[in-house]
Amino acid sequence: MKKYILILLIGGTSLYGVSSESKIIKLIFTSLLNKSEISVYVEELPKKEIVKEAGFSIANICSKADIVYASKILLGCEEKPLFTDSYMSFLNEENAIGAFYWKKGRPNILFLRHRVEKFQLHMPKKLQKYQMESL
Amino acid sequence: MKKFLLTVSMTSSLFANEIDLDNLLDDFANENDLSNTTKVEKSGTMQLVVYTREDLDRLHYQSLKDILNMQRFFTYRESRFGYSDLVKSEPMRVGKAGTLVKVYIDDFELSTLQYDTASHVLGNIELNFVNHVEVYQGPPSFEISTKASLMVIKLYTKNPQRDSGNKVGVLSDNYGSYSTFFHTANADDDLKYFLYMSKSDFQREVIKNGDTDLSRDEVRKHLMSTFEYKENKIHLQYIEKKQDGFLTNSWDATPTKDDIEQSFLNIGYKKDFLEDRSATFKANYTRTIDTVDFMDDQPLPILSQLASLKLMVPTFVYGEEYKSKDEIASVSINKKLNLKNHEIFMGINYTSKKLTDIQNDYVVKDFFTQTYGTIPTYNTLTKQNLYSIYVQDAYRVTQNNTLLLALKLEKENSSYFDNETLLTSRVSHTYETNNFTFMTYYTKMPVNKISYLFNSNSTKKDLKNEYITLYGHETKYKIDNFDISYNIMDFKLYNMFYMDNNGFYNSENQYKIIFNSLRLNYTFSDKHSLMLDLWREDVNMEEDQLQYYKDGLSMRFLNTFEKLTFANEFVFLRTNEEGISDQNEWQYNLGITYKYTKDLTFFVKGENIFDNRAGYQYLNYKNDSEAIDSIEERYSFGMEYTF
Repeated sequence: MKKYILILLIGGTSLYGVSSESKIIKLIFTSLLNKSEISVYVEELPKKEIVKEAGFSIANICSKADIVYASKILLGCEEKPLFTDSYMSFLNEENAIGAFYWKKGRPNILFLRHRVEKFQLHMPKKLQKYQMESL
Repeated sequence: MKKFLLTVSMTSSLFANEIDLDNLLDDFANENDLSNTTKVEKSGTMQLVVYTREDLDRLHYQSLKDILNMQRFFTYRESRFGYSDLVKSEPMRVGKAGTLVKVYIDDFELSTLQYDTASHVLGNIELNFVNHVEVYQGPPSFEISTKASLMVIKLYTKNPQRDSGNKVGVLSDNYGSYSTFFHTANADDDLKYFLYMSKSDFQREVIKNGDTDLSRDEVRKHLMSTFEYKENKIHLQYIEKKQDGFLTNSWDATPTKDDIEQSFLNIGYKKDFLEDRSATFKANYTRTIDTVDFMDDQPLPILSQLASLKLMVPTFVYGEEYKSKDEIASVSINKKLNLKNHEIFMGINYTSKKLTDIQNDYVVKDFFTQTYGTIPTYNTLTKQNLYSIYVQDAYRVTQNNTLLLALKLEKENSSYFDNETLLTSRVSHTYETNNFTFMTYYTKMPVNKISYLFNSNSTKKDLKNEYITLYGHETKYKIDNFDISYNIMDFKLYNMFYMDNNGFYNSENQYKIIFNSLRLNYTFSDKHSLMLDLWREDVNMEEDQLQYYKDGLSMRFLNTFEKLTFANEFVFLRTNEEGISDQNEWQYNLGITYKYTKDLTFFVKGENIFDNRAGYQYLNYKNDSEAIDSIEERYSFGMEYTF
């Protein structure tokens, strides 16, 4: 019984008191990967905090991660889907499935359909309006 | 029971996942607004009003004039030459408050030797290149400015990384004005740039003074750019203005020629260094060239020295032609140091100011031939060098109590006056809890001499610098969606310059003002907010034996409904002067912004809609019996597109 109350409390309050960046990352990664436990590979300290705050575990090495969150492709992560905060990386990196970046004075989110499909990720309906067919 | 809890838990998770991503992106933009840095880092700063990027987008302010118009104590006014000025003093020259208003763009001070400010050039500058604006009233922290000031305006340009892409905009109004702008920005790894260009032809209401048409039209070209390469930041700005001289210095306010051309150039370089980026090197150069051509039908008799005869003879001056170059170059190194409970800010600065009269002629008429010609008056070179060293220590005595001590020692050397050593001091105490802030301060600030004092033959070389003392207190209460602050400030100006038949002298009397204000902000929701500012100032100009008070109210309602935003603004001012009946004036503005898509915005704005501003009674304009508005009844409209 205690366990369920705990789950309820964690589930119900997990989105309060966290930054909106963590909420965005949580929403995107849980939707795309469609699984309960997600492991993220991340190198930069601020991004690590965001990922932890979103409730994901941090992979020690890239091969054990479900997804990479970085500005550019990291060494040894060439086979993993990359979610980037750089528009240039999104344009240039073949495994960049999506990006969260500033442009035209506002934050933007974009996904590229064939790259999402290449990694067999799930694109829910609510995210489809951010998806592009081609660059 | 288990099933029930599981269902609730899953519903909760589902609800979490159903959060709209667009709303989250809006929240993210607000959380990461660049002005937040100011709010957090300078939380002890007095009387700060921040216009965030979101505020500026929703209010759709077109120029700095729109911001200044809503400030307590001061309001937007223009001098008889059509320059921006913020004080109701006789605007034959820039008033005291004009000099005490400092303007910065990206932390580079923009100033002139002529007025010790560039507020007269930038007071109505367009805001399309600006990300956010900070307005400080009262003495700011040395990190904001070490200069003697009553108001500091800080504009921050758009960030190349965040604003990468392009934007165009057009604007027109009921007077037939037009203004267009374009900006582009990009950020590739180490190199980032922002480039803004605009061209404007601002038409204004034509004022009749007998048979003379007085106008304040202005054609302006503006280039603003920033370049960042690794830790190096370069800042380049150029403004070219051709404007009508309005009433000029015409004795009876009926000029026959009133052309002013102004070019303004600023080049700045900034670099953060040391491993923790705690030190900053800054170099800054500002150049203002004024070219003026005035003519009047009524000659002004003056005594002039004929160089050939070395005699003083009466001369009848019909006009003035002059060209002056005002240059300021400065370098500074600042360092921040955190030692246990001490936050130390210190630095050194060298500033060189130079005003050169390239041409300075009177227009006179030959008695025999009745033809016009020019006679040179005097060509001067005015110089001032400032060497300063400053240190500020914010000592956290306990978790809630902070004691701030600041000292600046400055050497002022000039080409005319005796050298001066000037000491600026500031002490403040802040008590902060989660909801309350109490700050009490005292500061003494000497004011640098400005160039209109130089080269007046009869001005004594031992003229002392004016200096200001300010005692003040601010109480602020803040909860999630509401904040209220009360300010009181006791301002005194000592050694004030006055002029009599023998030239300038230091008054032994003081110019005193007590400022009181109460400001509140209430946010009903993300989309609806109210700002209310009530204020009063009591003025006592002992030398002129003049006492009066002014009070006022500024109010703003900002409401967003889906794609539509309404900005309702109301300003009320009352002036009570001895022997003169109260003067009441008010102003109502309505701005409507329609965001058709995220990239395309349309806007309309009505300013001073019921035309109830009282304006200013300029000297000798219709025998001083009528006033002219600096804020006209104006209706503007336009669009902006981002791509």
